[in-house]
Amino acid sequence: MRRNTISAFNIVVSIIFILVCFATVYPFIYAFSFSVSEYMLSAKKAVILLPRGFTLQNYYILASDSKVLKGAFISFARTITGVVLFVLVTGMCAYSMSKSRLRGRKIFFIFFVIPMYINGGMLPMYMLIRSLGLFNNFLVYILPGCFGGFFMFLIKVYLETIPDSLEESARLDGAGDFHIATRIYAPLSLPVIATASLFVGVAQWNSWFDALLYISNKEMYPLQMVLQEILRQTQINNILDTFELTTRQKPKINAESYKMAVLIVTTLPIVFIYPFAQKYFVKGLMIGAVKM
Amino acid sequence: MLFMKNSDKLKIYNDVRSQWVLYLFMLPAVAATLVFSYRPMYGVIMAFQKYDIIKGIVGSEFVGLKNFISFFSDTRFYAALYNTIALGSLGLLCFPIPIVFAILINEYKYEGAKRIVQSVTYLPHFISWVIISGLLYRLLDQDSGAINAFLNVFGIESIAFFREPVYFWWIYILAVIWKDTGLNSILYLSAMTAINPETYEAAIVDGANRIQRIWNITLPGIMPTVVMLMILRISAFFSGNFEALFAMRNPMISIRSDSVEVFTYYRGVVGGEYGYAAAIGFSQSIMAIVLLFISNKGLKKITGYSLF
Repeated sequence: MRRNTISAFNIVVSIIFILVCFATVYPFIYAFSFSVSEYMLSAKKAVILLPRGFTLQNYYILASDSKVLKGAFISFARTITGVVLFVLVTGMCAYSMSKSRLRGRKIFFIFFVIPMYINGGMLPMYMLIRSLGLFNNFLVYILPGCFGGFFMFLIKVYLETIPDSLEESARLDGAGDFHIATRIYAPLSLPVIATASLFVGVAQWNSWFDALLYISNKEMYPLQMVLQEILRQTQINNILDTFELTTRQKPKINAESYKMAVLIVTTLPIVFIYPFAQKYFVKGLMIGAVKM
Repeated sequence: MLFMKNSDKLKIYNDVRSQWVLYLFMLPAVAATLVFSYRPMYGVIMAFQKYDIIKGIVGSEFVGLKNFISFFSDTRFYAALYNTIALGSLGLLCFPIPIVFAILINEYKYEGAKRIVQSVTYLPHFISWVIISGLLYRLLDQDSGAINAFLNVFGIESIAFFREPVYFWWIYILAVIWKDTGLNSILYLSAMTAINPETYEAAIVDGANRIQRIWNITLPGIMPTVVMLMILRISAFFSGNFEALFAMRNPMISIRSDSVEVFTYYRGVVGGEYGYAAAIGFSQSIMAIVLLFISNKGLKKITGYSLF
C-alpha cells in the first residue's frame, strides 16, 4: 500500500515539474522560432512552437545594425569594467573587515549595514548623479554600484574561515598586509569572488534603468536599452530601409520577428554563462543564508 | 572617550598606525558608500523644499510639508497608490508559492530530475525585465501571439491583452511568479537540508503520513526562513517592482500599470517637480521602515521568530 501512494505522489509531482519546466523554457523557444521563421508565416499565427521555414535574414540585418552593435559593445564594456572594479573595491574592504584586530570594526559594520536597508530614493540619487556631472558619462554605469554591502559581508564571512596561521607564518617571513591580501587571501577566496563576479556581471548585463535615467545620448545606450527601444517603436523601418539601400535586396522580415532576433541575441550571453552562474550563485546564496 | 587614559589613547594611536594598510584597503568602499548611499539620504531634504535645480539643496526655499499635502490631495496619486496596493496584495497572496515548490522538490525522490528542475527554474531570475516584457508582448500579441492562437483553438476570439487595462495585474503577477519562484525556493530548500533526517525516519516509524510530516516537521523547520522573508516582503509592500512595471507598461494600460514609483518617475524625472516627487519617495521609505518594525513585532508574537 505504502509503495503505491509514494509512486502516485511521484507521478503527480513529475507531471507538475514537466509542466513547470515547459512553461519556463517555452517563451524562449517560441521567441527563437519566431526569429528564424519565414516572414510571411511568422506574421500570422503559424509559429507556435517550432520554426516554420528557416531563414537567418533577421540575424544578417542585425549584424549590420549599428545601434545593436554599439549597444552590445557598451554592455560588454560596462560588464567587464564593472565586475573588475566591484571585486577590487568590495574585496579589499572585505579583507580589512575580516580582521578582528581592525580598530573601529563595529562602527564600520554599522556604517555598511545601514545602506542595505535604507536608501535616499530616486530623486535625491538623480540629483546627486547630476551634480557629480555623471550624466551622459560612461562612469555612471560602474561607479554607483562599485561597492555592495551584501557581497562584502559574504566575502568577509568566507575570508574568516581561512586559518590565521597562514597569515602568521607569512608575517614571520616578513610579508606585509598588501602582500598577504594579494598573494595568499585572493587566490584562496576565488570561489566566493566568482560568485560575486557572476552575480554582478549578470546584473550589469541586464541593467538598463540607469541608462533611462541618466543617459540621453543614444550612442551610449547599453544593449538592453537598445532592445527596449526596438521592442517599443516602429523605427525598425529605418533599419530595413538602410539594409535595402546598401544591399539592394528587399529584406524578407517583419518588425515582430526582427524584435525577437534582437531579444535572442541579448539573452544569449546570460544563457551561455548560466551554467557557471547557477553553480556558484546557489552556493553563494546558501553561505549567505546560513552565516548571516 | 574624553576620560580615556593616556595609555589607551597611545594604544589606539599605535593600532591605527600599524593598520594603515587595512584602512587604505577600505578607503574606496567607504568613499563610495558615503557618496552613493549616505549623500542621497541627506538629499531627502529636498522633499521639504521647493527644489530649484540650479540652487541645489543649500539654496532652495523650504516649504515645510507643502509637497506632502499636495500629493496627498492629488487624485492621480491615489490612482497610482491603488495599483501599488493591489499589486502588493497579489504579491503577498503569492508568497506561499515558492514554499510549496520547495516542499515538492524536497519530497521528490529522483535526484537527477530534481537537479534539472532546479537548474531550469532558476534561469528566469537571470533574465532582465526588458527581455521578459518583450517575450510577453510577443506571446500575448493580438494578431500573431501564441496564447491567442491557443485560445482560438477553443473558439475564443483573440484578446488585446496589452491594450485592455483589465488584464495587466494578472499578466504582471504571472510574470513575477514565472521569474522568481525557482530562485526564491533556494532559501527554503537550504533550510530544509538543515533538518535532521532522523526526525523524518522517526515520524515514519510512528506512522505519520506525508502531509503530517510536512506539516509537523518541514514547516516548523523552515519557519525562521519563512518569517525572515515574510518580513522583508511586507516591508517592501509599497515599494513595488519599478523596473518590471516600467518595462511592461504602455500608455493604453497606464490606468492599471502605473504604480506610485512610476508616477514618481513621471512627475519628478520627466516633469521636473523634484520636491514633490522626492516627498513621495520619502513617504515610501518611511512606510517601508514602519512596516519592517510592525511586521517584525507582529510575526514575533505569532510565530516566536523575528528578523531582529
